[in-house]
Amino acid sequence: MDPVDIGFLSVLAIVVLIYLGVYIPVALAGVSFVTLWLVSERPILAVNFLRQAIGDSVTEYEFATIPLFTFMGLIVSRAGLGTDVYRVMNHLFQRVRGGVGMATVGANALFAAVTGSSIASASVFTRVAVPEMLRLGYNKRFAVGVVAGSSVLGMIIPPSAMLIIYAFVAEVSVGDMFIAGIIPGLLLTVAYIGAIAAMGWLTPGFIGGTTPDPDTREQLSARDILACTLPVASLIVIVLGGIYTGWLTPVEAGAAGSLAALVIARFRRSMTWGAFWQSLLETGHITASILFLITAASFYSRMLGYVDLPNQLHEFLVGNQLEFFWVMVVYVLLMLFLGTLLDTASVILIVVPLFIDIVEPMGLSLVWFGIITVIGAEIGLLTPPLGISCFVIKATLNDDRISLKDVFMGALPFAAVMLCVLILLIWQTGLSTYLLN
Amino acid sequence: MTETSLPLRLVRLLSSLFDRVAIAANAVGTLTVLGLVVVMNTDVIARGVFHAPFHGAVELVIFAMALIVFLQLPDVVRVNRLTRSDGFLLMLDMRSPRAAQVLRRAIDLLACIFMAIVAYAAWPEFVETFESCSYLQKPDFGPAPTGDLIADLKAATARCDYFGTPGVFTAPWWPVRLTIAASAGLCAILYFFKVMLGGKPAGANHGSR
Repeated sequence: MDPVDIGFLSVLAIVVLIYLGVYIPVALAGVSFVTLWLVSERPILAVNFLRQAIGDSVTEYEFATIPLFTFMGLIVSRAGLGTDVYRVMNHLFQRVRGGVGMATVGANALFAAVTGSSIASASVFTRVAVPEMLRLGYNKRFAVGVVAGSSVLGMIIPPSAMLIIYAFVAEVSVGDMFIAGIIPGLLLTVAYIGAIAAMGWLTPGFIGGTTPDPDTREQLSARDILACTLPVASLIVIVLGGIYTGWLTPVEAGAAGSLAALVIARFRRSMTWGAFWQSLLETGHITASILFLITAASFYSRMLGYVDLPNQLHEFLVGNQLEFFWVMVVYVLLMLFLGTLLDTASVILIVVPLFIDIVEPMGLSLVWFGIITVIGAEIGLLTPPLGISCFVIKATLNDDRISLKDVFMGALPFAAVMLCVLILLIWQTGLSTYLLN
Repeated sequence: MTETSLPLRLVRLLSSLFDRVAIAANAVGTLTVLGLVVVMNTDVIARGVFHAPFHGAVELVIFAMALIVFLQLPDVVRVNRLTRSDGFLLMLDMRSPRAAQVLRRAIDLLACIFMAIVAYAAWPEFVETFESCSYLQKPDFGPAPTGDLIADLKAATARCDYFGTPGVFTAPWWPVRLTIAASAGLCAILYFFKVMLGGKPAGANHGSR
């Protein structure tokens, strides 16, 4: 067998092993190790590659964005900022059909701008928004679907763990990825709200509820609204504003954001020492597992380079005169397929090293490619059998009336909206890179 | 579970001993995270307010990251939070709990072997960087040992392969290399005990999300 075939088989083996439940870094790096050994027929070469990958893994300044933004997100969640923005949004959308749904989307978008995790969003909004919608007589599938669909915003609107992971794999700047994520994130938010409005008009049965909702929601004074939005707004200004103006590097923005989040939490008396230590501990765990994952992925990408798989793929695509359009069709289909089997981070780590050498020669921006990749891989969060967001919602809800199938069915329209936005972003490449120019 | 055999009790004891090492390392790593927040904010404030940037912050951060990752990795392993997709395992749990248990042990065995390979690969780097200091033997160049322990130790540490920018921040490489090798070794040991004693289901813990 020639090296390319072995390389191809090893990618396949990685997918199967991860699906079976092997730890992702172990699957990525373990298979790569065996592949290097088989192809070179010299075990020492595999050991040397591994040593280099581990050595390089600890010499990157921007890695510090991971603990800092994770910490900020955890503090913000514990401080109850998610509930606050939800209350404000609920107030704003109360006269519209499907208003609570739209409020959930809007609150998620704002909350996403201060956290980097879909899971945090999913669990916060399952607790506050779903019971409210059920109480107002909304369709249960719609209620959970909205939360699942909008939780995805957490991973696209910066700061986002997935954008950071992509930035490392593709070796682009974390700050650029963050800035590039803003417009696509807002676009998806608007598309979701538009889709809910359209559903309310075309298929009111799917949303349920009445038009407008019975006026039982709390009334907020202008002062309440200010008090609820100011903390989130100031965090967004510090982090995204700092990065956008170039005054702060992403690492510094993460640190400043963490400090600000701590001050807010302290001010609201929503942080005990125990919770503080828990957040630090959790930050460490998440950081260690993400960075170990990135280390394994960098080893995997070296293995791919050694067996020359990306080049061969490039020649195959060029040789068959495949145009941009078809390359993208293949790419999106591959991501959707893998997204149904694997989690988002694995999809990014497996697919990006394969395609990155194809994207650059085509004159396409790596930043744009990252946005496409993250959104494409995120669709998998909403689709069975392994839509993680849906699992989290089901687990958080703990309500026998709503089955996992209900969550998936409810999320389906939102996955479709995501796909449409993805197609728009592929077609109009400038939408992602506009703020960078 | 009234009576357990002596070997099994011994294994449990050893296992909990290594667990404690992981917890201790984790606490140190956790404090390093806090240190990171403090250092970066000092830098931002010093630069923004006093126009006096904190020299060496970048180097310090990189150094801290290496410590955070590898000090905390064993604890991640201990609490079963190393990233995995466990949808298939959870499905198998419902159909055939025994098969799921066997698969879990097989996966942990794989992880144990892999971590051992990482430790094996990382160890020589530590030896190399440690020997560069010539703590124990006469150095190849520079002044000979004076006999004063503290002075000699300082001189030797100054000879080490260092990391950072001279005049700004430098630190010897070997503590990081040692942390990496020891961390991978400890992970291998923890997985070994998981294979022996049977791991618990990880639940809905997904590190990267």
